[in-house]
Amino acid sequence: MTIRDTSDKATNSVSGRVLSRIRAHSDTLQLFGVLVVLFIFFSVTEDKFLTTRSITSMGFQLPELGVLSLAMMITILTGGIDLSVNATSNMAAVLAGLFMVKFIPKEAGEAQIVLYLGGALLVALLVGWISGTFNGLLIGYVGVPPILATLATMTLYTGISVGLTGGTTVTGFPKQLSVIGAQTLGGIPIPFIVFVALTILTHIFIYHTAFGFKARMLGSNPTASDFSGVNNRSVLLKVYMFSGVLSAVTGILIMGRTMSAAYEYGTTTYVLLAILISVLANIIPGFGRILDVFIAVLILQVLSTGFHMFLAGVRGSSFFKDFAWGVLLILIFIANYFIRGRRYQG
Amino acid sequence: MAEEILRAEHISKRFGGVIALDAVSLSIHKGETCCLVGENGSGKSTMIKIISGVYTPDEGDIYINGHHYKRLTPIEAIREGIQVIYQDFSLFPNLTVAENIAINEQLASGKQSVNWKEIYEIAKEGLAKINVSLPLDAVVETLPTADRQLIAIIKALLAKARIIIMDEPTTALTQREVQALFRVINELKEQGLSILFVSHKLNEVVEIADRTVIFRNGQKVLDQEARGLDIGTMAFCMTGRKLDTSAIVFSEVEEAAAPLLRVENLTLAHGFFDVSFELKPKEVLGITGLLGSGRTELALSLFGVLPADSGRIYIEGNEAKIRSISDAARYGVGYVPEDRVREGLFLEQPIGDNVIVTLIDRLVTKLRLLNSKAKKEEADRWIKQLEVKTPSGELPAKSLSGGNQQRVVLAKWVARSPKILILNGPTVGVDVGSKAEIHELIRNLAGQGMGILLISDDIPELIQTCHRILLMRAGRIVKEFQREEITEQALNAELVASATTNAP
Repeated sequence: MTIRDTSDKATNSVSGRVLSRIRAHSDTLQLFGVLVVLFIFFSVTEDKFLTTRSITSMGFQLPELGVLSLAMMITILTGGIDLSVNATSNMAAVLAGLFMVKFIPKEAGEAQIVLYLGGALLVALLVGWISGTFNGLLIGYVGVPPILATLATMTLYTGISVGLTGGTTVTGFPKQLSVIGAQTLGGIPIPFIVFVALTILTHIFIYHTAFGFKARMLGSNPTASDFSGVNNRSVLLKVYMFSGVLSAVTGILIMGRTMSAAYEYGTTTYVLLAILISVLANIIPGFGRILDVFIAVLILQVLSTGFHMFLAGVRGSSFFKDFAWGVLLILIFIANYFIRGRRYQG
Repeated sequence: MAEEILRAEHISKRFGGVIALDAVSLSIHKGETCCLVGENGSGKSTMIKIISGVYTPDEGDIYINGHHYKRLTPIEAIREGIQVIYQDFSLFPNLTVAENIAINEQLASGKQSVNWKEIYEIAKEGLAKINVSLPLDAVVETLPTADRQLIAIIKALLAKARIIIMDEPTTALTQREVQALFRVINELKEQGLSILFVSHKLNEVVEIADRTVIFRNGQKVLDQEARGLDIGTMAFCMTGRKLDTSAIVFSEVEEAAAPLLRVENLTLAHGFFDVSFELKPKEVLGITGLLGSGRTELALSLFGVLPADSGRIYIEGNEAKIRSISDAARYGVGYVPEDRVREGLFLEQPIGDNVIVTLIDRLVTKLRLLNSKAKKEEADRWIKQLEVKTPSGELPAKSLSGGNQQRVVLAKWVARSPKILILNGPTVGVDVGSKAEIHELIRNLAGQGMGILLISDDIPELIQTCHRILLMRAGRIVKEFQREEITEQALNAELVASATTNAP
């Protein structure tokens, strides 16, 4: 109590304000520091880490998790969560994939294929939008708690993907699709460009539109936003729609990189990692910096790549890969608790 | 004078650069009710925490029962018989009355098994101490606040209290429950206990105090026998300003104008029945009644939270269908809720954002992006207009005092320039000085042409702001007071009459 009292007083003074400004950015600096340390660590310990090949491959991999994390963070910002993000991306990919396999004629010319490809992307986005809308209706209008609603739809959406594919992987896409997932523009992987663009777009949505403002207020105190004339239901609906569409983009990126679509891509790990990224970036209802999410995604990718390179050198490691990765993630949670928890309790 | 059992001498306490207490002395005698009065931030809470051992003073000495303490620990304070009853009572909501009363003794005995016979005996003994009866098997969370408070008092007595400190004990009580609490306090006094009653409700202080101590800005400004001390003097000591009710200027109601709001036979099941009234431009219409009289339900109905079952609402002569808060906002109705922390504020968010949340859809550029310049201008404008005291609109709303938080909630709706503003308990938990300022603000807003519905059971507040007052009882409007009929006695008599007719 004593400490809290003095810090409140301090924020009222000028020096206090400067201090709190630095404190507000210190999260970003701290995350950036962690990123740099991990990067240097793996560059020194693993010979293959600091190579063009591994850096590029990271640039291709991380956007999937990155866009998924954006989808997750905006729901956490409103005091909710979206556990169905990964199930949504797979469903979007599966449906878009089936569309291509079923409808693109064998003798189609280049231009025609590109047209169908555009149609497939629209299908994916539409699927994401519909699944997000369904989540939003359940949460905003029926009043189901987000964790339950999206746990249920996660199962539902995965079930739909399994039903449509019979549990198999959909393949046989036109090679033009790989532009999205496996090519570079000026040396930069296209998925990474998409991720950066969506990060900026999300930032604009959350911090520079009336919708984002309302979403943050709703996260801070839903009763007060209701009493301030904010239409909570419609804001929640739009937030989950946005989350669904971002998830669908992830589905497109996965499809473009692997040239396949399946119900089981990334299951459980991706959802957990997306939540972990929001925790690392200190996203709480009403508050969160999108830049922090971006850096947290980079951290997780560096960690994941470095960790797998390390394990590749250990014999029989494939047997305890999941185990070791699980332990590592829990260690991150604990480390985060000690660094963050301490400070916020004070 | 009776024997002195506690004396705190020249106590000073600093938090960072702020002096909370500046060489203040306080003594409590056996068998007296000492009232400690002061505005928010005057140092009264700090003093309570020092004499109960929560804070260590920077300077000064504490003497209890003749023992000298330089540093008092909470355990020593309890051992010396000092018990604090905080506003939340620290009870176990899911346990029964008997369990709550007996739990400390049960824990202290170190027994592993539960002896129900003993629990009931302890509980009965406790109830007998203050001569009240409560259902022993009732789960505490189902009881009204007043009963929970009694349980907290009994627990304090069983812990062998000699001094009971009550921190704002009447905040959540009705008039009748306050009287019941006062009877208990007098009973305790006769048993030789001392009470330190901390409050800023001056009418209650006048009624219960043997001695009154007033703090202002960390200093003691008054310490004397309560007899002969009137509310005006106390208010002056608390605020350092003279509150003059005779000089109040009421706006001129536009009697000739068409009513801003006309309500006809409005009914909400389990809320209110057949309510009809009119509100003119520039008028402040008071709606009073006890808790449960339907006054809050009526307000929520007009604001679209609890849409009425039947009846009609006309705004500026046109029928208004208010089925949701967005409807109400569109018709130009604003609402300042009773529970400002839960319903009115985004405590962690910047003050400025709290103010402009009702305007946000208008503060966009052509590209539908937020116009941050307009945002800041609007926020600053209303913060200035409603005199919210803050160094910056970027600080979180929780950094403000109660009175200033209330101004922010007011600003939020005033910024939308509503035609009709509903205020539900606008000064609950606000200290005397800010209260007078908020009252003046309400009168000024009415003067600018707004129609204001003021829901309150604070009689002085109604007198200082309202042109007319409607009294509600059991969901119906039972009496209307015109300006010239409004006196403290008349209102009090009617409210008390309500209390007796509402009694179960």
